[in-house]
Amino acid sequence: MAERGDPGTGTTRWGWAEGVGSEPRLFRAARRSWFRVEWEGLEHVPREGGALLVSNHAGMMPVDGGIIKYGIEEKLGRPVFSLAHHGFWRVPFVGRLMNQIGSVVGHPDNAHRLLAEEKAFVVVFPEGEKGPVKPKSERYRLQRFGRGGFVETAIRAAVPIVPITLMGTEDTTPVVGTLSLGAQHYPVTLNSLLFGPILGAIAHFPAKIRARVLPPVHLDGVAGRAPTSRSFLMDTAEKIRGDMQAALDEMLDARKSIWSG
Amino acid sequence: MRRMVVLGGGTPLGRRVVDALRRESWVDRVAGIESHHAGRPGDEDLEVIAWTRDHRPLAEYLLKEEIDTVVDCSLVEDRSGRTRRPSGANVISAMYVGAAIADERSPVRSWVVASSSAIYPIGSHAPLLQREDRADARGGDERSASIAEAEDYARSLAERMPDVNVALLRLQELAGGEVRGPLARLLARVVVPRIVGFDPTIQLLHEQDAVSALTWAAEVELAGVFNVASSGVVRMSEAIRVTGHHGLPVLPMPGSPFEGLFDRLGLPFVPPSMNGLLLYGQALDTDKIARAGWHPAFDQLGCLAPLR
Repeated sequence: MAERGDPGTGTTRWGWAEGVGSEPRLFRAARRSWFRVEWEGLEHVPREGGALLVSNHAGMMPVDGGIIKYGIEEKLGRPVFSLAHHGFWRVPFVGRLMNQIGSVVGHPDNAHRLLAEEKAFVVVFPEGEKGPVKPKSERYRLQRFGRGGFVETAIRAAVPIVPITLMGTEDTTPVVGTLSLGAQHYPVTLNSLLFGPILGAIAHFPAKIRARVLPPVHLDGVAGRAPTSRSFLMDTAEKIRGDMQAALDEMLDARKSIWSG
Repeated sequence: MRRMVVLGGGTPLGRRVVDALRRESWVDRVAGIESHHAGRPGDEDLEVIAWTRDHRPLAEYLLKEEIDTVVDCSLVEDRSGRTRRPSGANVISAMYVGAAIADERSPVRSWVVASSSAIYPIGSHAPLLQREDRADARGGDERSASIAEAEDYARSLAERMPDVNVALLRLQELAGGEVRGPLARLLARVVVPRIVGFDPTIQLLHEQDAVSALTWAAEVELAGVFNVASSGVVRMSEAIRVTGHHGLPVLPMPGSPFEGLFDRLGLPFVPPSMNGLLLYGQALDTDKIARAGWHPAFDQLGCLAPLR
């Protein structure tokens, strides 16, 4: 959804240009006609108040953030913000691009402001970069959910966690191997082998994408109470990860083909 | 009726604060104080008290003049790195002022310190809006460390002496006709250097808002740490457009050795000490001071107007 800016400077409260956050036409076309995204369980998304949406992460140039952001905005008419790793903002032009697509630096304070004060939806990928760079053998296996920081964010902001599992995203850019340069790991996708590193990062295969919203996890008993024990945060994160993995396995079992779903 | 002094009364900001306080009906007496004669025009009005070596002359003055409020505009913060002052200058100055205030006969019950947003770390990892309780992860450079050290001292004095109200106002980059911080000076140029590939979110504080926040803090005897900025934020590219100046994308300069040379040749460059600000930007969350009752009169457009 487009952000409204200050009438004088055209700058929004997030430092964006006015109009930022509206869906690029090409992406909408890809979402509708290329990936043919289908949603189920949308009734689990709260109709009011903030919520922390968590999902599984995949792909060299992950489209999952956009699928969720624009999908929910289109279906429910409520703004969704995606948090991204601050490293993107260190790269010339990329940081500006991130702002232009309506991404916010993944800092707990930014998340809190969006969730608690602006009552918005925030989508995060607790696997972090471990999702996109995981080896081929880990296909559709959810990686560790960090140290449960996202659970703490939800508790602090007193909002529910809404898990969303995405199937098909990993097939749009299938990983065939991992390139390790020192401590950095880069996924090698079939797309990049076929189309080269630049076009290969953009060209996605038209795998059918299904999104399932799981019942929200309310942390009311502990909401607003901080600090919460580290073990509780990690246990909750692990339980959510387990539920998402189970849902994903079920969706994969029911899938007839990668292309038609 | 209140009796006040403004330390650093010869600085552009200090001078404005003295003038503003003189116009207030609740102020009986106000004096601008400097630690030494700088010989600038307008300095004749200033009292000179050498407080940066020994607290006693200041303590005696405060007692003799029955001063109840000290507004401190003497902290030095310069992102351009042009002023070479010993890094300890701020804390040493704060220490002597603090010692004079803590003197058992001291009549002072309110100390308002003009601190700076330079205390907050700058980087891609920083939150969009800095909150007062988040200055713990210090940037570590000399500039922020020097401000932090002085603030630490003032805060510990506040804890030790609960009947003295210590207000630390973290002022955002100053912009105005007379008072300008490094960012405003950069934006006031006809050709404004900016770092290629980056368009940070910046925020300014109009000089009149700065003066109004400091006088208000003195009037209500505010205590605590507060961010102060004019309302809103603005992107660097937009700020350049609004002022009608021209942005010149440049590469960040790695270190200061070339700074002098570029400056002498009149070439546009981003001073290395401002690299962080022009890469990642900085903005302050001003909810706390708004809840306490102070609101800025200017927005970012208003701050940019005098820089045209």
